[in-house]
Amino acid sequence: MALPATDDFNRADGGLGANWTTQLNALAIVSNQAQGSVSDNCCAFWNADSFSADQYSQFTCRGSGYRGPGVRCTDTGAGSDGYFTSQAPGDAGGIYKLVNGSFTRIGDTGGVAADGDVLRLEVDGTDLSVYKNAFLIGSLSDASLSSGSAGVLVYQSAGQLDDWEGGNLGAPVVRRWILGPH
Amino acid sequence: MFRRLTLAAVMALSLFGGAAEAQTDVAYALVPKIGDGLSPFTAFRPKYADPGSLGAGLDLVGWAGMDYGVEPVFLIRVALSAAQRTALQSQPDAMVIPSNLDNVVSALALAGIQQKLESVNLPAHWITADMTYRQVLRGFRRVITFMQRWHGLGFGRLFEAGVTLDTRLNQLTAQQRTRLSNVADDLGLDRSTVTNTMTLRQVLKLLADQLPDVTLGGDAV
Repeated sequence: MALPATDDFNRADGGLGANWTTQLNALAIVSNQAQGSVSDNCCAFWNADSFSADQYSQFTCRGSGYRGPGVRCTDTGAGSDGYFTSQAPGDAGGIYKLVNGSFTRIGDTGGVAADGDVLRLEVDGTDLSVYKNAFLIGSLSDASLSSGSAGVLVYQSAGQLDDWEGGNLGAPVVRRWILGPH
Repeated sequence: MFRRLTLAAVMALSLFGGAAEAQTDVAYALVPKIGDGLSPFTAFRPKYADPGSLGAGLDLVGWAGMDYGVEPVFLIRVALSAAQRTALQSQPDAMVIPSNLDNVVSALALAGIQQKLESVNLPAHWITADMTYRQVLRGFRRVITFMQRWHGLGFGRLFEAGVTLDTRLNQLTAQQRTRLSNVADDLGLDRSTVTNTMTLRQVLKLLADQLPDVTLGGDAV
């Protein structure tokens, strides 16, 4: 397949399918959207393509629960890795890294993503940037993870997502000259 | 198309952000790490980032953090009001860096800064009284970056029982030395001048100094 990769989840209820690798717990397709299959952290990354180190993941949020895109996701067997972001009630917007299955909150974006909002997470070198509906809402640096694939994170079934896309970032652009907490 | 929208959005945010932050100063602080890492809701995170932890109406928002790998400390960048700054500075386990990063470290403050940094195993022997806080911040952020990759490679704590900044490489286990080499190699660093009689203090600084500056919360310092 070719990047960017996309998945609209428009298929029969059940697992995400062979193009996705489960981390922690599995996601499931219900009514043409993806959601958690258990009351716990459910993560998966796209395995049908190889991603460069600088990549992005984005999707349309459905429902109001905990869900967010992930980048540099891997599952080595020793543990799951990845960077994730979310904007959910009770969480108020966070940027996380998952290393060997342990979560560390490394940033705060504030806000809650509503049904229909598009959340996007980019990683470029050690820079992580979070966008909601194309507005930059947070950025920071972390050097823990250097490679992996684009993916998603959902907690329980209240958080749903649709129309996922993952791909490589292009050539550097001018956008990085201003950032800060908002 | 997305890039054009992003650029416009960032420009708009910068305008609004400038107004919103008129009554706040961007601050950097070292604070302890708390949490158990089991889920995003109980993730390892900076102490004082939780709502209510600094008192009513003083919650930190929009912060960006760098943890010192698996070591129990976080560097955070956050816009602070005067009241928030006072509250954070009053915490005995928080070290708030002066807001004007171009101020020079005074001779009076030097020993205290070095003691605080080294108490969380951040090498500080290289700091002198003629340096700006910006230089200090750049220096130890690189060490933090080095130890983040240590974490990402799945290694446990370096500064476990018996290991300090004074520990020499030849006093570490073979596994610990191999891990240091692995991190340096993974980051593309030259370790040819590292010797077995160097202390961890010297080795971490020597290797980390080869790393580029990183941004935090969009701030390259």
